[in-house]
Amino acid sequence: MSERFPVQTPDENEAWEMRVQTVSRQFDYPPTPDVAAGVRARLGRRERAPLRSGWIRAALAIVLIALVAVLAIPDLRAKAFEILQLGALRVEHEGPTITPQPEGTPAFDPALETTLDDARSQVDYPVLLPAYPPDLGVPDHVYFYGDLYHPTVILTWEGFNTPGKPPLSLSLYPSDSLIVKYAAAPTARPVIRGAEAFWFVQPHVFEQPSPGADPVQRLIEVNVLVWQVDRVTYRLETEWPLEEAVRLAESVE
Amino acid sequence: MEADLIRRAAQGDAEAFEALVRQHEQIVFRLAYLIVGDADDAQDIAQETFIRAYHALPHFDTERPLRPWLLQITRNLARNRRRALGRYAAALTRAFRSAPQTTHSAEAEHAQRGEVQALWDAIRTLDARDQEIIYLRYMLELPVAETADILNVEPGTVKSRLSRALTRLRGVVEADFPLLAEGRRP
Repeated sequence: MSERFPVQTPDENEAWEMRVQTVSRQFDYPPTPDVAAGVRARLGRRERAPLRSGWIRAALAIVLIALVAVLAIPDLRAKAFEILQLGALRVEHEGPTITPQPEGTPAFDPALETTLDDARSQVDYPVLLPAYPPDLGVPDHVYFYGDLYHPTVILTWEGFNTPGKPPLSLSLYPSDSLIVKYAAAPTARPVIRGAEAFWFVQPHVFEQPSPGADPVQRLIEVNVLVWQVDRVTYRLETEWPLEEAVRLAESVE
Repeated sequence: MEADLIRRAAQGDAEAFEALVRQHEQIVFRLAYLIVGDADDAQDIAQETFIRAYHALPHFDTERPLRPWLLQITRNLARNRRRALGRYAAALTRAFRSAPQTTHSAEAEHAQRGEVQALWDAIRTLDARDQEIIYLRYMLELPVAETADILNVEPGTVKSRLSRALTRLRGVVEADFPLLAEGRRP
């Protein structure tokens, strides 16, 4: 893409805008297909299929029997109910395995980079910054993973993690959205601003559902601290120890 | 009228929902096509848009217009689809751009394909946000307020983003699509 930004007078700008408008109006779209018929067929399939299938009813019966059996055994019952949830975060013990990205692969999609002001204008929760450590300053990069259900803002700072590894990052999610960690139970549960937080140190798969595509999965190989304040779930990726991560979390204001 | 259709569709009235689909299928398909650049993919995205809308309708505020909401879903689906294909396509695009091309051959090609296609080619070299705002305002000719609604920004932000996108587009056109740029001059 060219980086030239010619100086333009208002008249030139207006002429250029009109030119774009005029040419755009001549755009030749493919004929619009019969979307309604496709939608009708797909909705019909989804609604009819479960009712028509005796196999599914049989499978459900088997699952129900297995569930009753599991709940009858105290140890298994305890494990079955051990689903951890903190704000937007759900922790599941069983999950996919993925291979690490080559070193230097961007952890976040460069196409989604924006400015802090723009990110703030696009979400209905406050995008607060940490004040600790004092030399942290404003983020070097801001990403807006925007969609209808998970308006996520990700802030990153260079120079605080090992070069070549994902940078120090702080992700903000509205707590009514959903992110998933496939991980063992948290290594520690510190208290941040009066509420329990989760601290993970083992490598694990992190998944952020995407309404329009398969969930985005990343292998996380650094420490992660997750906490919630005022209906916002914060997620810090860092190579720091727990004490330093907590100090950063407490400084978000 | 539309609010009534939405209310009935949300209660499971298939005919009402189909009427809504018919009302909006063209613009939904067109936005998807502009973003992903493939008619089959655009059709799939258009269908998925309405299926998601159907399931979310019971929670939709019937006082709001439906079209911006539908186009917001379309935009998200299309962006995600394009992103899924993006790495491979980006590698191909980089390889194509790095190949030496004479101005003459580029000009001849664009002249042959027409300035509309050249404009689209130029727009597609911009980043996703610039592309979307140009598609919504100029290709689909949506008002500023509706564009703002779809992009979830203030109308003033639409205007400033549009101005920057046009400036960048002009830079691209002048550098790589000279025939299209010449048409701008009287």
